[in-house]
Amino acid sequence: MQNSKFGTFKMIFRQIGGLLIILGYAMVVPLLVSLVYSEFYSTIGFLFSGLICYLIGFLLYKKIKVTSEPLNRHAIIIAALGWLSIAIMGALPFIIIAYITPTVIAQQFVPTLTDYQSSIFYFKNPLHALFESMSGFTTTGLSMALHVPTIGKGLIFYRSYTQLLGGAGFIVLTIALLGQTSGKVAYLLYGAESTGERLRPGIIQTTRSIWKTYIGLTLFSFVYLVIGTYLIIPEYSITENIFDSINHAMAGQSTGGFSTLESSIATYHSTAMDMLYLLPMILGALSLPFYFKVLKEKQFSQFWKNLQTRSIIILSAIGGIILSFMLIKSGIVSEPFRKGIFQFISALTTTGWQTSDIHTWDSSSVLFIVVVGMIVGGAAGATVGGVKIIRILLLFKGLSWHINGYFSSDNSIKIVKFNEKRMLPDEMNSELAKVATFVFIYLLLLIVGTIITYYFMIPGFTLKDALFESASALGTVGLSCGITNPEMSPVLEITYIIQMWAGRLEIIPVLVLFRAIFLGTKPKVV
Amino acid sequence: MGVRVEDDAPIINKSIAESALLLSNISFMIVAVLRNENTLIPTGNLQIMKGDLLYFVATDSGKDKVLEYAGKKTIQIKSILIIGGSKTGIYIALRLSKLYTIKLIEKNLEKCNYLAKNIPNVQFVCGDGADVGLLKEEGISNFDAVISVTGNAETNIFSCLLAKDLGVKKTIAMVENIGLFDYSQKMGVDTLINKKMAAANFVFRHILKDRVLTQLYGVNAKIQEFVVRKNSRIIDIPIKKLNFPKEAIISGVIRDGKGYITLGNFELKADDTVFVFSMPQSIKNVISFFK
Repeated sequence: MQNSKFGTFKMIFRQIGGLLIILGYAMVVPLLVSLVYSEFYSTIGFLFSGLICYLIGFLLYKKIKVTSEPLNRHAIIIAALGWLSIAIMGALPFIIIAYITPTVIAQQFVPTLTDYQSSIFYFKNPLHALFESMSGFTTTGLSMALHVPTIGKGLIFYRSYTQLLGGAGFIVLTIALLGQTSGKVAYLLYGAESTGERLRPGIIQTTRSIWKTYIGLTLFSFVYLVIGTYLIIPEYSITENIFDSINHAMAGQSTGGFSTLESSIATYHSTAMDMLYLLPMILGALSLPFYFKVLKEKQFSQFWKNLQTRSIIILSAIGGIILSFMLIKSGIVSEPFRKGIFQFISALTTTGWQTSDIHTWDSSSVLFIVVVGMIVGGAAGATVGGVKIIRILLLFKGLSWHINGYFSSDNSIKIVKFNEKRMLPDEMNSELAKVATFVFIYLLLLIVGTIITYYFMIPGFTLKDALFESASALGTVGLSCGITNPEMSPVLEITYIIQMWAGRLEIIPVLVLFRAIFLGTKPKVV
Repeated sequence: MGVRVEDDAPIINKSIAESALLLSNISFMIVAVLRNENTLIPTGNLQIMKGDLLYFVATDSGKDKVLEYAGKKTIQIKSILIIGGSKTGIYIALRLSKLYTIKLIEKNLEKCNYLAKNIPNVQFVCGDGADVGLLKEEGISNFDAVISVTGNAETNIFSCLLAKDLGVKKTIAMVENIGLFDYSQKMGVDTLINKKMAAANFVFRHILKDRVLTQLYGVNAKIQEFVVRKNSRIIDIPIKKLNFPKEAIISGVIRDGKGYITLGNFELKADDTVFVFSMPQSIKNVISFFK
């Protein structure tokens, strides 16, 4: 018994080793970017972080010999633990660079005529570094870097880059690149992290297809943003334009929401730029398997026919307009339409680019954006957080199905048609049970997070702010009303780290991990 | 089409010649009368009696007039209850689900679930089609038509009779048992389906190389199809003056894709397609007549 338990952990650590090898390789890209911008301290930081990740990964992956193959529960534990390890190891560059960069060099990033310090030094605190890393990999976008441009181009790029890596799923990426785990194992891992939808006959081809689609879309966003930015503000420096666009394309397609600018997209001070950035957010909120099928079969009418995609487009428009009217009613916000629509879509797609100071909003507008935007989230199979729109639709369908059931006789077979699928009552009930359980635990975690926030936040904020910030972390949105900052309580910071981690993995894997740690892996017999 | 003469029909106890005055039009005609299991090819003097089953030939527009003539009202059918998820039942459901509101009752739960999952626009109910309580609960009297196609003829007849009793206007039962066939119609089931007969009709038609179109149940007469030749001696003469074989009747003509009902004054032309209704004994005469 003891032996098999040990074997279980060996197997899990071996898989995590695989993830770390890929992370080590991945550090090469920000290393090159640092070199391009002649930020040598950052270069060294990435070099060491990469080497450490690779070495640990190599040791775990190659030295551990396993005989047994992972089962479903192992795959889920690997997903939960793997994401935690990646966030921890991904924090290394922040810490190392914060410690090795001399103050003089760091202050060069700070614009003249300002009196604040470079934000790099916040990352000397490992918790802040972990927060930033977790926020990046889970595509949240909450940040400890108070003044983003002061951390150097290398780290700015690295932040957006972690969102790109985390977006379509780091485990999916590992399966695609390592490609040596057996099909069954790979499929279990893929299912534990993502939708588990098979696009091609083999699982490895499937994961590669997903990543190709994802990278393709990111490139499209990049070109779109470069051209758009150039047309709207031609006086903006072209190198800055390219740097911004490549970062924003990565952060947008992954619905992460990190920005390269002092105060996110609002820095451009242009309505046209706000509108330009709506498209990358919506593109990011649509399901990747959906893109793959549409592009492969060239059925572009699916953008309207597909239930999830259509719902997101409709909800974006209606929600944005409703929020705008609520802001008009409150009378607090200037340019309510511009801000209402942008912020609503940013919340719904769980991107988190910010153009408005949400702290000043009235409670009902905040409640609306939390419930209809952040909690709902984008499409299942996309890079978004939240409970995913398809689940909300299923719950509504279940409600109407239940009500309609009273009007047909006892013996009728009460078929329900949902998303082009005809389901028998038994199938529908089991779907509903799964979804309802998830939504329940999601809301529970949101409430717990809100209460913790309420007790540990800095004075000056109210319950609506606590709710907003907690929903933002759990839904991996990244909009902030100001509670998240380097001076926040460590308890709160850890709460948000856990919320982001759980929110990205849809909670259940994290609970399974806790069950395994505290109660072991033996099945419960009543 | 076959219509049974009801009590209050205006044509009872009148000869066909008399009744023709009731409705002066030429959109339909009677081609055969089935009385006490005997088939009669009508002549002008034939008296129509209550309980006769009249077979009509009618153009599209004449259908409603036939019903009026025989004392029946047209029934608007919107909802159909199908009892039995047999192949026949499934096929009916599939074909009609877009046009009518359909409910299908099937006994076997697994089959019911399978069908419900795969056939859209049909309400499936799991239960016994012979269970009166269930039929009432499913609101059998609200349906315009009941089609009972379980594997059991007795169940089918019973369900249809029950439906009739509860006010359903049109009932159809599948009866494979020939012995029950005549009686079930007498008892009040409107229409009967018999797979063997349908199959036999098809085979029969195939053997006679499409000349015999169909055989009507209970009627010995057959419908045959001929094309009038160019130099035939029957062209341009009113039908009543032709020496047409006895126990056979020209029931209709298709000329240039349009259907005509042929009364006595009708004149045949070359290349007309003629439909002839004839008793078996005169088939040979009819064939030679068109040669």
